[in-house]
Amino acid sequence: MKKYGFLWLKFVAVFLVASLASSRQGLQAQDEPAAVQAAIKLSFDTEDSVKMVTATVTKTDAEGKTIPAPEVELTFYAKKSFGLLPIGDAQTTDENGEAKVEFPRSLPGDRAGNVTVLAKFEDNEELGSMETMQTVKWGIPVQADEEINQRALWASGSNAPWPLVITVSAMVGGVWAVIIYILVLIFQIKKAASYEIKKQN
Amino acid sequence: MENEKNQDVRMKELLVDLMPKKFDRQGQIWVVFLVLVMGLGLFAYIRQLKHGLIVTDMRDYTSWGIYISNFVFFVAISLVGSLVSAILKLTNVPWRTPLVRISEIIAVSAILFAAIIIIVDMGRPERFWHLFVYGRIQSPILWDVIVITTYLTISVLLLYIPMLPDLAICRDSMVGVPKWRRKLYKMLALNWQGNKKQYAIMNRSIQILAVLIIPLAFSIHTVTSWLFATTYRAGWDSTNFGPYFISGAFMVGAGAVIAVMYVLRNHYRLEKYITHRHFDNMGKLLVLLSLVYLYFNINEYLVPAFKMKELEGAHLRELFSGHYAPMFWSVQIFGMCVPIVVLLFKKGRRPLPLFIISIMVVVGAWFKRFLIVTPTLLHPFIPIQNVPLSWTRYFPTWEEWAITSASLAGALLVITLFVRLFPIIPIWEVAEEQNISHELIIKPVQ
Repeated sequence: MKKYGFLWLKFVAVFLVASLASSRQGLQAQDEPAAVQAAIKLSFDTEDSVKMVTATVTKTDAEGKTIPAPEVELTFYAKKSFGLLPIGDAQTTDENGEAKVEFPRSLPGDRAGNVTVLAKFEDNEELGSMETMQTVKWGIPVQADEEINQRALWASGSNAPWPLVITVSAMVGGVWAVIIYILVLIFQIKKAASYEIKKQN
Repeated sequence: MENEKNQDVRMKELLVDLMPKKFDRQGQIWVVFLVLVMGLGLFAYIRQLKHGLIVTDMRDYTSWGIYISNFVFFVAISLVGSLVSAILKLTNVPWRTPLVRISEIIAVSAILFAAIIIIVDMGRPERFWHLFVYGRIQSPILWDVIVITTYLTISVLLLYIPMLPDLAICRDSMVGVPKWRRKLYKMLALNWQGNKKQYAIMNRSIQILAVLIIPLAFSIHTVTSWLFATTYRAGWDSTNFGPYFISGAFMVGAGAVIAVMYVLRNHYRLEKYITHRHFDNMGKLLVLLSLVYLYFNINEYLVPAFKMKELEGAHLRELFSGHYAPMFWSVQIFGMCVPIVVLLFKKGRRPLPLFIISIMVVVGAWFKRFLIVTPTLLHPFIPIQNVPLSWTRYFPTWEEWAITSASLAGALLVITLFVRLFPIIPIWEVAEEQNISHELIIKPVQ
C-alpha cells in the first residue's frame, strides 16, 4: 500500500507542475501583440499610353493601424485557363508598399477583352502568403475558335464531316448488306435439302 | 469416265486419308503444352487486371509495347486467308485446293486473337464498349475496330461455307464419335445433301465472299498501318505505310501457311495431297512477296536515310547502329534477304528448307512489328524534364511475355482443335479434282 501511496503523490506533483507551466504559457501568449494583418490592393492606371498594374501591400502595426508594407517581393500573373501566366519579373514593394508592372500590350483576354490579374507573395517572413485578383478590360478581345464546333476531322465525333460520315457508312453498310445476303443464302442452302437428314442419326 | 466402283474406292481412300484423326501422343503433349502456356498467360492477365498496366514495362513514353506489336503481327498473318482463298481462287490457280482451309483457319484464329490482344492492351477493358458509344468516326482506331469485326465475320463465313460438304461427310461417315460431335456436324452441315441447287448456292456464296474479302483484307491492314501513319511521329510519318504493311502481311501469311502445311503433312502423312509441287509453288509465291516487301523496305528506310532529318535521323540511327541495330539487321537479313536468296533456288523450295525459311520469315515478321511500334515511341517530340530512366527504355516484363505467348498459343490451339474436329484438306474439292461424282461424295441415305 505504501508503494502505491508514493506513486499517487508523484502523479499529483507532476500534474501540478504541468498545469502551472501551461498557465504561464497562456499568460505569455496574451502578452504578445496580435498577428499582423496584411492586404493587397490592385489598381490599374495608364501612364503615357503604357498600362501599369500597381499592387499596394499594407499591414497592420502594433496598434492595429494600417500602414504600407515595404520590401515585400510579389509577382503579377494573368489567370489563364490552365494556370497562371507571369507578367514580368518579381517586384519588390517600395516605402509606400507599392509595386508596379507594365501590362503587356499583346496579352489576350476573353471575348470582351477581360483579363483577370493576380498579385501574390509567398512565404514572406512577416506576412506569410497572400494573393488577390481583379479583372480588368485590358486584354485583346479574342474570338473563340469556332472551328472546333464545326464539322471537321479534328472535331468531336458528333461533328464529323458529312462526306466522311456518308462514305464510311456507305462502305460499312454495303459490306454488311452483302454479309446479310450471304446469311440468307446459307438459310436457302438448308431449305434446298430434298430429303430429311434426321433419319440418319 | 471411270466406272462408279473405281470412284467409290477412291472416295473411300480419301475418307481414310483426310478425315479428322485422334491425337496421338505427340498431339496430346502439344495440346497440353499450349494449354499450359495459355494458363500462365491467364494468370499473368489476372495480375494485370488486379494491379493495372503497371505490371507491364509500358510507361508514358512507350505506351504501345509487345501487345500492339503482336496485334499488328496477327492482323498481318490473317491476310493469308484472302491470299489463298480469294486471290488464288479468282486467278484460277489449280494447286491451291489443299491449302485453302489451312490458310482460312490461320486467318480466323489470327484475327480472333488480334481482337483479343487489343482488349488485353486496355488498362480498363470493361470500358471497351465506350469505343462504340463515344468513338469518333474520324479516328482510324474506330475504323480498325469496324474492319476487324467485318473481316472476322467474312473470314468465318469463307471458312464455313466451303466446309459444308465436308461437314456432311463427317455427319454421314464418322462412326464411333461422341454424341456431341455428331450433333455438331449435323447442326453445322445445314441439311447438306449435295444436290445441284445446294452446290449452286454454295459456289455463288463463295464467289461473292472471295471478291468481297480482297478489298477488305487490303482495308484491314491499311487501316492498321494508318494507326501509325496518321500520327506525326518519326518512323511512322510515312505515306509508304499502307503498301509496306500489306506486302509484309502477305509475306508473313504465306510463311505461316508453309509452316503449318509442313507440320500437318508430316504429322498426318499427307504427302499424297500436299506434294513437293505445292511447296515449290508456295516457295515461288513467298519469294515474290518477299521481293515486293524488300522494295517497300527500301522505300521505307533508304529514302528518309538519304535525308536524315533531325528526329527521323535519330530514329534511323537507333535502328541502323544504335540500341536496336542487332534486332533490326537480324530481321532484315534473316527474315527477308536470306529467304529471298535461298528461295530463288529450286533446292531451297523443297519441303524442309522451305519450312525452315518460313519459320525464319514468321519469327522475323514478329520482331519486325516490334521494331515498327516501339523505337519510335522512345523518341517523343516533347521530352519530359526529369523523366524517370525507366520511361526511356522498354523491355517487356514477364507478364507481357506470358500474355503474348498465351495469345500465340491460343491461335495455335484453335488451329490444332480445328484439325482434330474437321478435315483440314477439303475432301469434296479433292474428290471433284479426281472426277468423283457428287453423288458419291455425299451418298443419299438409304
